[in-house]
Amino acid sequence: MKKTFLIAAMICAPFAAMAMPVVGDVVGTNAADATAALVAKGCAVTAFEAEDGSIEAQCTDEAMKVWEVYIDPKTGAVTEVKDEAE
Amino acid sequence: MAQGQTPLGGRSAPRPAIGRLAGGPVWDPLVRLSHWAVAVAVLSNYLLNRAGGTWHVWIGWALLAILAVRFAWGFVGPQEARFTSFLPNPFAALRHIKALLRKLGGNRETLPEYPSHNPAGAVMVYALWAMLALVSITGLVMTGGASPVQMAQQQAIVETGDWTTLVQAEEEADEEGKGAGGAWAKEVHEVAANLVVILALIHVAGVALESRALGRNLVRPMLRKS
Repeated sequence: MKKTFLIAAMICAPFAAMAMPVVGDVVGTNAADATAALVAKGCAVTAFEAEDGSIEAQCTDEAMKVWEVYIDPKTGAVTEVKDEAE
Repeated sequence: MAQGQTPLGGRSAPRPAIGRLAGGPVWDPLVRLSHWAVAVAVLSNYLLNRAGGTWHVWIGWALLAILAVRFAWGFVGPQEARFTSFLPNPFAALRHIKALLRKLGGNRETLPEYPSHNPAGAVMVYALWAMLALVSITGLVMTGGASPVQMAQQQAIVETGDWTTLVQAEEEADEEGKGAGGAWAKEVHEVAANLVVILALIHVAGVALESRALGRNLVRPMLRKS
């Protein structure tokens, strides 16, 4: 049973990683809505800040990788997703 | 006039006074305070706080105020703090660096002493000030001249408010031309900030070498009066 679970987890892992926010996702135009939407997509928000006319959400995925998700403050849509380390 | 100081008549470069300024320049409290305040501001904004954050902007404004006070002091302060005491002269700076290297290489010649910054130090001071002014001005351009209080209010909206209100404010700023040039300002801000740190490291190395060549700690007069 354990072995089956492990294999299933290994097969599903790449798909889980893909369940990140992507460009075009509408996450909301305030911090509360965006936090909930990003958490639902697998990225826990640690900070928001305004940058060059966008809202930058810093969030961490399940693998503890830090991402920068840029949101259009007018529409609430994700415009860019960047690996924070890059 | 500072202790052990000679009058300065030249306009192109600080005049050396070999053997007459054994203690070197005595820096007044404002020079000492502004020196370390700038050092702390640079280290804080470069290494410790978040770029664009409220602290970053507060410290940037404080840095601008410190520079303004120091520049005014360059006209009205004591002799060793005045711009006329350490006018930039790249050729004199090169001559001083060559003399310093000869001294460090074992030459017995006496290294010239100056009542203010030596010529190499003077060039470094102006280069650092120019880069610090550039960092401050581009920072103002990037924030549209918003005060730290306005920046804090904006961050409060980002964290708890309706983001569409930020769009409205930004569109109004664009109409007034305040938002223009943000992209180039960011590039220049980052390059100038890196240059400030590189120059500061060279400055520290220069102070260490000069201290070794002169046989006294040049950091001490920047910490206390004697």
